[in-house]
Amino acid sequence: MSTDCVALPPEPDSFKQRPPNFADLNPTGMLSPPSPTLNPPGLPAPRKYVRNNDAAGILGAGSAKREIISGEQITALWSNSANLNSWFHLATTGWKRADPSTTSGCRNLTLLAASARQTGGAPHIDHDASGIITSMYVW
Amino acid sequence: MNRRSAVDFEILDADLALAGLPWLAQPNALTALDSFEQTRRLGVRLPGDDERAEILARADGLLAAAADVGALPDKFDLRTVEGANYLTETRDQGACGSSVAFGVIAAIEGTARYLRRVPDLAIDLSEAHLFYGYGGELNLDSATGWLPIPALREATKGITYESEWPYVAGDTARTMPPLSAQWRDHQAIPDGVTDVTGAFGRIKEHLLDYGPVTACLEVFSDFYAYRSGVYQHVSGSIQGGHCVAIVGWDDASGAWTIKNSWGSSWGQSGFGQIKYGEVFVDSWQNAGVTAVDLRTWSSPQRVLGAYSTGDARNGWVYLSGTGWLKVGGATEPAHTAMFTDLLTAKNTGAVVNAFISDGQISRAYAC
Repeated sequence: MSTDCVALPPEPDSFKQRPPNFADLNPTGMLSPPSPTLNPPGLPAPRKYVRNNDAAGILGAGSAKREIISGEQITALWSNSANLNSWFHLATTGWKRADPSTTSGCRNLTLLAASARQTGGAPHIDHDASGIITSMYVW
Repeated sequence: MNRRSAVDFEILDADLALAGLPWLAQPNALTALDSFEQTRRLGVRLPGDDERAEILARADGLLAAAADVGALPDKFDLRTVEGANYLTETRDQGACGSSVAFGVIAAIEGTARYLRRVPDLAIDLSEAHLFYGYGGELNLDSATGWLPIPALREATKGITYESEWPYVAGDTARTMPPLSAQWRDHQAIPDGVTDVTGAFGRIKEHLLDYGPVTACLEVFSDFYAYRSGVYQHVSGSIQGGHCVAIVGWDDASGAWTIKNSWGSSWGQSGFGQIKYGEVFVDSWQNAGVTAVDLRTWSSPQRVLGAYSTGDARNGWVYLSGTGWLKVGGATEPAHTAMFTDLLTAKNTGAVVNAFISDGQISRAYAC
């Protein structure tokens, strides 16, 4: 396999399942998955008027520290035979791993990354402090 | 029976001049009718003495509280929210006292569009279903009229689309064929009926956060002739009660912007401004909804975006005419199959037809 383009990502042996963030729990104790808070470019924003006490609603679920990567193309994809081990290489940021918390979530993120790689689109990505991609938009 | 129009422009123009010309009167389709036909275009029974006293008390409190409302824009209009118009077209209720159905449907349709931030959302709901269907079951008709809050509560049972039950002015419940059994798969289901009557700030907040708010008002004959400016009663006698939708406000003018149901010749293409506190517009019965679920096949649309998190079965797609929809799927493979199909449609520019229910896509054709 050619690895000319970028160095391979680290093996996932040391990966640890992240504990649930209790700030994400709704009052019934069930995890409430986030919904999109951005709209495609050129369309009205989902919500425009931010109330003083409504910042959490605008930012979406979850209070864990997140970083956003926007405007970078995905230049490579990588996976191996390990379960839920899907990695994407961003043009300048480097390798990031798809959230392996659930099968369908990891699969969806991989599909989105593959789509962006195929079309040359620059996704909008949120990742946590450990570099795990927790959400992704493609336009 | 007086068969002349209730509007005498000579007297009205003189009264407007005396009042300092707060608004402009002009002949329109309403003023061309005789007074009997004019009152048939209303639809809210005037309050009795006790209710009237309550409304007056609310109106007094409302004006006193108006000065205390802060941290809201001075001006807001659902037709021009950063250049986007979230309202459906103005309609004409014709010769039937069904204004409540039109005010309520205007609120539901506007909320459905505004909450999704999709100005072109295809939504044209059946006023006939609400008025002749649900209202008919309650023995309501053109003569009895209705009120918006009970009508909104009936609407939460689900309102089908205009194509399933087209509105024809007149009590058509007995003459229309029954709804097809499929209407349940072609309906909007509003939820979160919120009463903001007489709460100046809450009316504004509801408009800003969710969409239009219904309003009942006393109609004096001069209202038929309204063309532009800020309406306040200056002339003529009481004609009856009416229902409209409040769609914005302008503090500089001290007025609500309303959407009427008297066709496009009235006001400015069916819209107008009514002075705060006037004719009970903000103290009789104001209400809206906080959610509108759609259960329908979408029109052919393109996929403009896709989103997912690492959570289980949490893939979403943005359809051009509907906005964000969660991709359903009773199992993970089913979710993945639909998400893949829709993502492929996005990449190929293919047109998608999707069945939408509870904010989710449960079936999708991508071709």
